[in-house]
Parts: sequence; C-alpha cells; structure tokens
Amino acid sequence: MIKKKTKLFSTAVVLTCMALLAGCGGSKGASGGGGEERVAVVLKTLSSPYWKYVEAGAKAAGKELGVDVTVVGPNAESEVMQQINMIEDQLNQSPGALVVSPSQPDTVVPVLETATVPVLLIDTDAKLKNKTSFIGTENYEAGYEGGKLLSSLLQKGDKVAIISGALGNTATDERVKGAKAALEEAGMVIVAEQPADSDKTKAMSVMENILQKNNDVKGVFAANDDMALGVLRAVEAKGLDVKVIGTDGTLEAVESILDGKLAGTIAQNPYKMGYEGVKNALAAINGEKVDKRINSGVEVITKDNAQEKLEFLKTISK
Amino acid sequence: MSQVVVKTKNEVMNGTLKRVLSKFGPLIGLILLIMVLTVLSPKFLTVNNVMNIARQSSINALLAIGMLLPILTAGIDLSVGSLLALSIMMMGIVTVNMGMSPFLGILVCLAVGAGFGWLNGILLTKLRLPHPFISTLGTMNIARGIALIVTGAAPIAGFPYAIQFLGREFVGPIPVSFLLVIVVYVIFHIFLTRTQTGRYIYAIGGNPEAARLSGINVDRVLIIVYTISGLMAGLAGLVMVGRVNSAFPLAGLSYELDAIAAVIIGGASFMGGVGTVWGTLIGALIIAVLRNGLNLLNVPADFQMTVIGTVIIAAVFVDVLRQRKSKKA
Amino acid sequence: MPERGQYMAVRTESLLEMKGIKKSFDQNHVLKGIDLDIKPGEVHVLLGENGAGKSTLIKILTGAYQKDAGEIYWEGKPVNLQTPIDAMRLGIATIYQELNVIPQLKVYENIFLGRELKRGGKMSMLDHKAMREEAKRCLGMLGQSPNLVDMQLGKLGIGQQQLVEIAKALAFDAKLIIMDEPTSSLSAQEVEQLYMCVEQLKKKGIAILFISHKLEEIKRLGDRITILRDGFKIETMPVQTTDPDYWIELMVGRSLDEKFPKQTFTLGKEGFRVEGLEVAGAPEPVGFSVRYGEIVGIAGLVGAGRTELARAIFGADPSRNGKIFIDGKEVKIKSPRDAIDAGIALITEDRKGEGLLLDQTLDFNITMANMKKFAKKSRLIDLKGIREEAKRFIKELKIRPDNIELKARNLSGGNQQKVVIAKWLCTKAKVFIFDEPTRGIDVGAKVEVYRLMNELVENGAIVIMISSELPEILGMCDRVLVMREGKITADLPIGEATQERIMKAATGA
Repeated sequence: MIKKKTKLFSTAVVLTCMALLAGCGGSKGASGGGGEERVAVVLKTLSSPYWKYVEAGAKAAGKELGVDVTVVGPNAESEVMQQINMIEDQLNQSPGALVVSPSQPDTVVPVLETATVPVLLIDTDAKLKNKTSFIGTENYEAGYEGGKLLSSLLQKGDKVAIISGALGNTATDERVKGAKAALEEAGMVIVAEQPADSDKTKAMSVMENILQKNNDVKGVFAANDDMALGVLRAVEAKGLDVKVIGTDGTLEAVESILDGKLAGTIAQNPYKMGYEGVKNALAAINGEKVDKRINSGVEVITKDNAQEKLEFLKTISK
Repeated sequence: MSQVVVKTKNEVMNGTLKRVLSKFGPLIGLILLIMVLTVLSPKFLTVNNVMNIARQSSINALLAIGMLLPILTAGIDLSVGSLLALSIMMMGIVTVNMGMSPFLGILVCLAVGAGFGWLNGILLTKLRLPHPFISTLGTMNIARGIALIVTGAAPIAGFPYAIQFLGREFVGPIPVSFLLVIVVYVIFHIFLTRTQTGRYIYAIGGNPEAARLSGINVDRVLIIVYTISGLMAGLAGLVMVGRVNSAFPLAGLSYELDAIAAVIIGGASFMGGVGTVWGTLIGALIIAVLRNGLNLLNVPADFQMTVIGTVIIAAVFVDVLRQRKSKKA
Repeated sequence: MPERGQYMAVRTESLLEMKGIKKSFDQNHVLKGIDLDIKPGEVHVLLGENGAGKSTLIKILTGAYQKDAGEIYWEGKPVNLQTPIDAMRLGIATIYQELNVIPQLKVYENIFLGRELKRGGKMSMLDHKAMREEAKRCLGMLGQSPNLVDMQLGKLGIGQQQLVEIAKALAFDAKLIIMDEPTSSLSAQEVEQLYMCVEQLKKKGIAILFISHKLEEIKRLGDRITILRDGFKIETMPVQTTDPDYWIELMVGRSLDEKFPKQTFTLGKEGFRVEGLEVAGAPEPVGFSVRYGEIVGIAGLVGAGRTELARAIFGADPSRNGKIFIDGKEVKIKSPRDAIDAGIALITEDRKGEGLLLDQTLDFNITMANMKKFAKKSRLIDLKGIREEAKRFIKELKIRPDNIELKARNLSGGNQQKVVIAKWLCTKAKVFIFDEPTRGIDVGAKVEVYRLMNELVENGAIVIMISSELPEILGMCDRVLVMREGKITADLPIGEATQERIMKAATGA
C-alpha cells in the first residue's frame, strides 16, 4: 500500500514541477516569435529594485526594436557561481549577443572569453579583451555631482562627512573620490570618511558614532541610497538638521526626498543601462560600430524633480 | 485504470525488484528528470550542455562527497563553504600576491581546508562541544571572517595555469573537473566500503556506543572525517578558481546547504549510518540538472529555489515512507 | 453506565474478547486468527516465543495497529480500535518495558501528563491541588506512600517509576492494564512490590494482561495463561493446574530437554584475575578470579555495581587504577580496544543501545569488532572473507533468518543476541563477560545461549555471567559472586549457594 502511495506521490511531485516548468518555458518561447534576433541579458540578480529597472530598460528596448530579450539573474548578488552557470547556459542556447553585469568582475572573464557572439557589459566593467562595450555610470562623475549638490546647500567652511561602501568596492570608491573633489573645491571641511558596506543599518550606527564626536556636522554624502537613508535615521533620532545626499536614485530615496527628508540623490540610470545594453547589442549583431565606453549618465534629483522621477520609477517597475 | 495497473504490477513485483527500486530511487528520479527536460528543451540533451552540467555539478559534487562523511556519523559540517573561500584566498595570496610556486599554492589551498577540518574534529572530540552543528557553525564564521580580512575583502585574480588546469581544461569534450569528481568518488567508494576506517564511519553513525565498545577509536575516526570534509572544501575551491580565474572572499557562500541537499537527496539519513557515495553523486547531479534545466527554460532564479526545496522535501519524504514501512514489517 | 442491549448480555462475563484476529505485513502473516478473552479481575498471562505474535496482538489491542480481520468486544459490545486514544478511552492502559515518563517532572505531574485537571474551561489554570489529591489516591491503591506525589520522578528507582505508570493508568480508570515484561529491569525487592500491587489491582476488579518469560512469576501471579506460537493461539488454560514444562512444550512446539543444560567440566588453573580495580561508584577496589572450566555468576540487586564492574574491566569508562591478569600475565586496559586486543569480550546488557548497528547487515555487525582480521596487504577489506566468516557464525549459532544481507533491526531479540555473541566469537576472545545475556529473549533462545556458554568453557574460554535471574545463576554457574553496593559480599561454590544465601548477601539483611 505505502509503496504504491510513495510511487504515486513522487510521480505526482515530478509531474507537477514539470507542468509548472513547461508553463513557464512555453510562455517565454511563445513571446519570442520567429525570425527575431535574440539577446540574452544576465544580471547580478533580479531581486532588488535597481536590477528591476535594468530589466525593464532591457525589455523596453526589446519591444521597441523587435528583439527577443531574455533577462535572467541569480537570487542574490553573492551567488557568483550561479551567475557563471547562467552565462554558460545562455551561451549554450546561442543568442545573437550577450549582455552581462558581472557580480565579481574577474570571475566572468574565463567564460566570456570563450563567447563567439558580441558581449556587452553593463553597470560593472571587467577586464575582458573581447568585450564590445561597457555601458555604465561614470561613478566619479556621480560622486562629483553629489559633492556639488551638497556644497550648494551649505556654507563655505561647514563640516561634512562621507560614508563609503565596502572596502574594495571600486564603484563606491570612485564616487567617494568624486564627491571629495567637489566638496574640497567648494571649501567644505571633511571631518570623517567611514565605510558602511552599502548597508542601511550599518550606516546608521556609523553615523551615530560620527555624531558622537562631531555633532556640528552639517552635511553627509553617502555612496549609495541605502546608506543615505540609514544616515538620515541617525540624524533624525538626534533631532539635528543635517543635509544628506545619496547616490543611485532608488524609489525609497526619491520618496524620502518628496517627504522633505533626504536632501537629494544622484540617480544612476539603470533603466538606460538595460535599454542601451540591448540597443547596442542589436547594433553589434548587425555589424554596426559600437562605442567601447557608453556613459549611461547621472541625474541630480532634488525636491524640484522628485515627483517626476517617482512617476517614472513606478511605471517601469510594474 | 491506473490503480488496476499498479496493483497487478505490485503483485508481479517480487522482493528483489522492490529492493532494487527503493535502492535506486534517486537514480530513477534523475532519469525521469532528464527525460522530461529532454522533451521540454531541445538544447538539453546536447553534448555541449551535458558537459556544462558535468562542469557545473563538479564543485557541489566535491563538497557533497566530503559532507557525506560527517552526515554518515550523524554529524554535519556547516563550514565547508567558508573553508572553500578561505582556502582559495590563501592560495591567491601565496601565488598571485606573493608570486610563489603554483604547486605550493595548491598545497596551501588543500592544507588550509584540511587544517580547518581537523580543527572542527578537535573541537568536537577534544573540547567535547555537544554537536558538530555548533563547532562548524563557529568555524564557518571564523573562516569567512579571515577570508574577508586577509585582503580587506578585495578579490584576487590572475592565477597561474597550473592552478587553473583542474577547473578549466577539457579532455576531449569532457571537463577535467568532472573527471576529477569521478576519480574522487571512486576513491571514496573504496574508502567507505573497503577500509577499516570507512566501515567504522558507518558503525559510529549507526550506534556510537556500540562502535566504541567494539573497540573503535571513535574520536580518531571523527577527526579523520572532518579533516577529509575540509580537504574536499579546499579541492572544490581549487576547481572553482580554475573556472573563474579568481578568488573572492564571498565565494562558496551557503554552499554547505547545497552539499547537504545533495547528500540527503542521494538517500543518506540525517540520523547517521545510512548513505552511499553513488547516491551522493546522483544527488549532486539532480541538483545540477535541475538548475541547468531551469536555466535553459529561463525559469527565474527565485522559482528555482522553490523547486529545489520541494525536491529535497519530496526525496526525504519518499525515504521516510519507505522506512516507516520497513520498520513495521 | 452504558445501557446494556439484549445481545450484549450474553457476553457479560468477559471484559475483553478478541475473536479470529488476523494481521499481516506484506506477505508476512503475523497473526493467523487469534482468540483471547479476559475476565475482570484476572491476571491473564500471554506466553510465546519472540515472533509468535505477542507484541503485534498487543499493538492491535492498544490501537497502534489495525487488525486485518476478526472482532473485538469490550464488555460485550463490539468495538473498533482505530487509534491509541480509542483504547485509552475504553480503559485499556499499557505499561511498556521502556517507561513513558518524564524524569524532570514531579510524580503527580507525570500521572496527569496530557490530561491535566483544570479549574474551569479549557484555557483555565491547572488545578494542582486536585491533581495531587487524585495522585495520592491512586498511589494509595498500590500501597504507596502519599509523600511520593511531590518527588521528582527521575529521582525514584525504576521500580517506583513503574508504579507511577500504573498509578497513571488507575487515574484514568483503566479496566485492563497490559504489562509487558514488567519485572525485567527490577531488583528483587521492586519485583516483590510489583507483585503486591498486582494483587491489589486484582482485588479492585482490574484485569491484567501479563507478558512474561519468567515461569516462576507466571506460576505465582497468573490465573489463566494463553500460549501463542507462530501467529496461532495454541491453548488457554488455568495456571495453577498445569505444568510449566507443558507450557514450554506448547510454546516451542517441541519438548525442551532442560531449561538449564548445565555441563560440568574439570576445573583448571586460574585464567583470569582482577586485582584492586577501582569501579565507578564502588567504595573500595574490587578483585576476583576465574578458573578454566567454570562459569562464574555475578548476582546482586539492580544497582549493586555489577555492570559498572564489567565496564571497568573492559575499559569502557575512563580508566582507573587496578590490575587485570590473563593466564597470570598482566594486561593493560585503557580502552575497549585494549580489552579486545587482550582477548576480553563484553556482551552488554543493552543489545540495541550498545551492541548492535540496527541498520547494518549481519555480516557487518558480526565482523565489526575484528575488522583488522580482514584487512589485506593492500589495507583494503576482504569482503568475501567477511561474508564467509559471517555465514559460518550464522550457521554455527543457528541465527534465523540465515541471510547475511539482512539488517540487524529485522531480527528477533534472541537472534539479535546471537549476532552480538557472534561478534565477540569473531574477535577470538578468551574471556567472555555476559551481562544479562537472556534478558527479553524467549525460552528456546535462552537454552541456546546457555549451550553456547557450555561450549565456550569446554573450548577453554573464561565465562562470567552477570544475571538478575537467580534460577539462571543457580542453573548454569559453578560459582557465584554476590555484589552489594559495589562490593563483592559473597563468593559461593554452587553447592553452597541457595536463593536465601544469595539474597542475604545481596541485600545485607
């Protein structure tokens, strides 16, 4: 009896899984249509808003240009090997071109070197000889704009603090460099520069420590929005008036600006990265010339244009 | 209809056939899975893809076979993912940063894994920590911490060819890493079934007191078990470095869970004393085939997790039903 | 009281009646149509070899298994026992060999575990006072002091813990109490106490289904006895007017020549000596010696330190001072490995917990203490050699079923014991210490174990047997050591050993 049940049960499980998969696979295949070029996009993950914007941009480009776009990514940015496997599996299905945002730049080099189709990197660059292009934010520029924005809100000689990302994170390091340059040019006094690993909670406690020593800090530049929001919490808890500038332009940050809390953010343009990625991939497939470096640009978001940005973010994250 | 068919089949089925079925349950699952995926994706059963699966499964397969030993002794090793990271970071420091011989680097990689594994064994047997869950949870965090500290969290890239060989090269169409897996599994099979220590591992898992009173040096065997598990983490790291030509401190994050999943799907018992080398290989292959198949079908990663979770529970549940039955009889 | 229907009146005499009960697992027919009736206030003994179907029958009665065929009547009414709760509601309670108690809780809390009395509705506070009072009443019925109720259960002896379980049964008005070998782990005093309790229960009209292998006990307590063999009921008869030898004949299906096949050999020189050995819990070092050609029994109450002595000799506990000599040569023993290498075997009391790998095959179990022997030059194990050795022992010891691929779990208690013995024979041991070797195994298997001891002695081995069964000690040994509180209090040649003398030395009375 039980034996029978066991077998029925296991068969049922296998079949259910397969039915679900067949459903998913089928729908993807159907949307592909015939005769279109196919571009595979492998991101760091699909499980955070930022990457959803990239995905939305890539898919929008696909729709507009008539390209079959497949966007995949592991469940976390730390799943480095899973990303490598996904790249392998996508290459195995011979797409027209591959767009990749590497979680760990060095790790994708061996597998991407073997690719026979155009490879475009977005968001994060890697030392890949055969890459067609890198499309991403100039992080130095983003930081510089952030520093400029913060200076414009303060008086010359005011004390400011900088919250950087994890040690060795080149993107946030560049931003910090840019911000520093702008702040120094404007004559601000940088009293602290501490890492908070791009983490909101950590940024909050880092800021608390900074305020212990310097409770007359007037402004803070954070190398991403999560840290900026963490800093804001620490500041609010002390009831101080400190201008906080973030970087990235996430939905949460924009909402905070609208609420009059965050002073501003330097938005990266993830949507554009995705869009440009697919657009230039198509160009490469068609043998057109593609620039080796494409700046996806930054956008300064303050109370003036936050509403607009919010609406845009909401439409693309649907 | 189907009821009737099952019944007549059951009647025909003699004891041996039933035993074969229950023994090869995971293999049957794997074959079913392959058949279904072949139908769903035309790319699945191609030489290229099969070799991809072989390569993609090899890191987990190496960790899983190491993990089999602690699980056979009714223990667990949570530290393997972190040991992998620490091993490759140290290898990176020795070969890339310090420019020493790649062979010394390989030695360091394996020695770091084995050394920390040995420490796990010592913590368990000499310090008498109550369960390996605790000791290895501790070393898991320690090793990950050191891996992050040694380079200030920066990755290391550009390894010499000798180190990349295992993870990168092919013999004909077959990845060297998978050949390594096969060799390692054969050695483990012989070790577990044909050596004294191997048999003692089963004995300890089945009944530690009976094993001790039968003259088995339980502590010594446990130390060997955890040392080997750590060594396999180092070896898996070596293969990983070959695949991606870089070492990074967050490598192998939560890999211990995939390794445990492979061992359990392969039919080993968490209670210890039950489990085989080939079952573990099939468990690792089931996970790799599932992931690869789901990738080919462009199933989102979040959904993949759900499927793998379901498979773990289903595999163990089927096993529980089988055991419940055999105990009643 | 439930109303009694017309046809029920016909069956009022029996409390429980089972008719034509059948049960099989897969192709394995365990019960082939068993009838059993139990009257209120009687002690009904169930006797049968292991595998005869006793435990399956009990599991059906307690709702743990469902019968395939047959009927069960309770107080004349047909009943359907689907779950253990059904059986409990009817008033059927079971006292298992392994007690179901929680040592950290107090006695009264154990008695009411899962059925706590409350002051009001479901969610209200526990009524400790009412529970204490009721617990006192139940303990009183068993002749126990009311002061027990507030003791932490784990601090009581096994015997008293068992009485608490019986009190638990009384607390929910059990009418039938099933006792599964209740005396197997009790000391003589505790056994006596249990017997008195059983008498008390009888007087109260409570029926007892008593499972035991001890013939004296059956003779003393039982009213009627039902004998099972191979899934059949052979006969039900009054205990007092029938002969135990006849029961055994029915039970094994043949007549056993002797219960104790004692053989006497010529006494040789001293082969084994223990000097000044420090034993866990013993006040002073212990020493004794054994000569070739004799079986030495170690008697005493439970907790007298006999198992501890055996473990100390075997190096099973952290090492202590003392000397051990085999053939006059001192052997150093720091661990079980040392003991095995020196040629000592310890057949432990707890087969499943300390002797066997239940999920491993017979050949694995039999050879595991001497794996070295099968290591080839290449350091690999000679699997063929292992299988052959195992087959040889299975044949020699008549282990059934004789399939080396079988897991130890699937064997009966008697055959499991033989596997453990085979394991030690495989080590070529010279000194065999048996700790309660026949506990929980049936009469037929017991005789085989005794014969094996004879053979061992005949072939020049030293045999020591720890036992709580005085008849076994008196029936099989040539000399008896009696222990009390960790000390050897008597060393009696069998000619001088009587139950009284042993008990006197064991209790210090």
